[in-house]
Amino acid sequence: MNALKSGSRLEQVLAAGQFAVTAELGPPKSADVEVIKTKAASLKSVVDAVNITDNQTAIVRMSSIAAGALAMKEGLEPVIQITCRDRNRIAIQSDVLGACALGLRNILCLTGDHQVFGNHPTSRNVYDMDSIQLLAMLKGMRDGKKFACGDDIRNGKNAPVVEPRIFIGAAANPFGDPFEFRVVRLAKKAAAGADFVQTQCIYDMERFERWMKQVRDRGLHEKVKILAGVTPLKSLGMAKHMRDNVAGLTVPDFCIERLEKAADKAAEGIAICVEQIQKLREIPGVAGVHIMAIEWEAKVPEIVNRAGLAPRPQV
Amino acid sequence: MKKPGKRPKQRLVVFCCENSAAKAAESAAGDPMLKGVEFVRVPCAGRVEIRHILKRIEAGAAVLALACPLDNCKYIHGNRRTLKRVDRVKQVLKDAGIEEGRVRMEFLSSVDPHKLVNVIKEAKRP
Amino acid sequence: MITAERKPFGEIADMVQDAKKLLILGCGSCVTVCMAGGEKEVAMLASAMRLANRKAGRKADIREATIERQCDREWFDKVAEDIEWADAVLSMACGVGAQFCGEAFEGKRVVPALNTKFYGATERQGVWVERCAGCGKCVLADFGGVCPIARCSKSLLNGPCGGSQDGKCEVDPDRLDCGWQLIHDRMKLLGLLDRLEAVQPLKDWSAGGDGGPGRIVREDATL
Repeated sequence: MNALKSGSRLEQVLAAGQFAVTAELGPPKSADVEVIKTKAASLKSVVDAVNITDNQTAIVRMSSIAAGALAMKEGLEPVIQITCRDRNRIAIQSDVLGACALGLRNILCLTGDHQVFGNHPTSRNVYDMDSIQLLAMLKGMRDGKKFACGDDIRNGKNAPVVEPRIFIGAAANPFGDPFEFRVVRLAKKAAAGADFVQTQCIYDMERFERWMKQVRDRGLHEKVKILAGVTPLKSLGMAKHMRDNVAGLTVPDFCIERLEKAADKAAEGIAICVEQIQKLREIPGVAGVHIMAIEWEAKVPEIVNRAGLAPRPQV
Repeated sequence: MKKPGKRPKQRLVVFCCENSAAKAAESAAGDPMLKGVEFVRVPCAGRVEIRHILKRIEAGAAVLALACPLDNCKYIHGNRRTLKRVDRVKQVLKDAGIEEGRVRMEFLSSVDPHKLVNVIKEAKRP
Repeated sequence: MITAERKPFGEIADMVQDAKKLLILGCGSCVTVCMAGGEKEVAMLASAMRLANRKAGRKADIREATIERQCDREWFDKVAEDIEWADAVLSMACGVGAQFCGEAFEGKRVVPALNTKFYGATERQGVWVERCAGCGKCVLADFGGVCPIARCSKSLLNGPCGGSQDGKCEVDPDRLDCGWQLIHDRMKLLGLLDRLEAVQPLKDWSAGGDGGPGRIVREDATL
């Protein structure tokens, strides 16, 4: 138990074999700190850690590290998301040192949404590396104590080596194509250095279970902690949008039908989400749940409570 | 020299596919509507290139391209190619600020001299 | 080949509006094949400019010429006199040729009529598609002959992102195949799927455009 890589709360919860709960906090599209304070107030003590997204869907927002540092002041444990879209290996390594210096201990490595989806579609992307190379680079910084170029992480020849002690995460999408390569992607992420993964939000339980079977067959659940992603459906419109417009996402008909019939769509969306979490907990190899309540952070406490995941363990 | 006040008659150049329009033109020979029209025989309408049309327009003429009916080209796609090229020529004319009607395209068979006369009549209208 | 598309007429006309003597210079190589800047395109553009000038009452002499290549100095000899004559040269070559023309005739204003696009192949008549990104260090052998850098919208080297659906790339599903679906399928066909399980390390981009302007020296060919 004392061989922790980062000592982050999330790492400790998972290492203790507790079913982990993480959520997501989208930084504001402005310099407005109040947005972070309000969202943080809903999530504080309710979840083990909170992902701070990095300009998700390529829309400019407050930097994930800055927002993460602010969220930490509000009592949250952040998971800093870093995408490969906007920064090269120089900037990312610099950011990781900075994040670590600010006390941020969890970093999630993502390829990043393509800029055509965002509000600066004419911008140039970077993609100096992909998410798997990013994982390998961060593991090399932490465990190898070296930068990607091979230099020691120290300020000078006689200075101490001070490497970033971080808990390294990745994303996994069991619903993209080619399906048979999806588990290979996870295996590569585990091999590259992922300590935990959070999946794309799951509605198609059948496909997720098939993927988890492949995961267990390769023993990957023992190498990397898998947090299953869920997103509560706020409305029928959102459900249809997710089904029709989000690549790598399927929303089964029964979800749509239940929302159609329900008088209170939002309450039904929460109910579906709670049931999903209960089902996911039963799947062997699932080590936790990642609740992505998109601009609906206030509902996370209710979801966590009703799913029987409150209170969170003290570590 | 042009006489002042009188608009010069626009010359008409007709590219004729020898499998259809050229034969129709032979049948219609002597029709007064064909007077002054310059016929250019081509082995297929698909032989007519953008630059051939533009050169004639530059020289002050209007151009009519006559091809076999669609799906009835001896060279399969010749007439469709020309149709697309004529569209491209129209775009060039639009870019240059010139009336797109300076180029036209019609499809007709070898046994339809009436249509030939009619489309030439249309094309001669300023 | 290097592919290109002609700029919109208005943009070209604006660039050369004050040239009284204009040479439109085509290139007989790549851009002829992709129908952007060969002899026929030169003739079309020259006609359009003459018609537009006449319509606007502008007086300008326009000459047309096309040489074999604008990326080799020797071919310019044939048109040296025309270039000297011209106030401006409207180059219908790729960005390489247009620049090289300006280098060959210092002091001459050379402007581009084309937008240079990518290294591509003719998929079918009238359709050209990108296949190479010129990274300077070819990796095709590792990916079954399908380039992840040129054909994945994010140039990913370790597999498809979550945006691969039914063989299409989410960036533009109507137009783009997922490069990684193609790599996966080809490697499967070749019986080499297991090779995609190796983690590809960081790429050395300095071999290509990120190493600064490129230069190749073939010692035995230099004088």
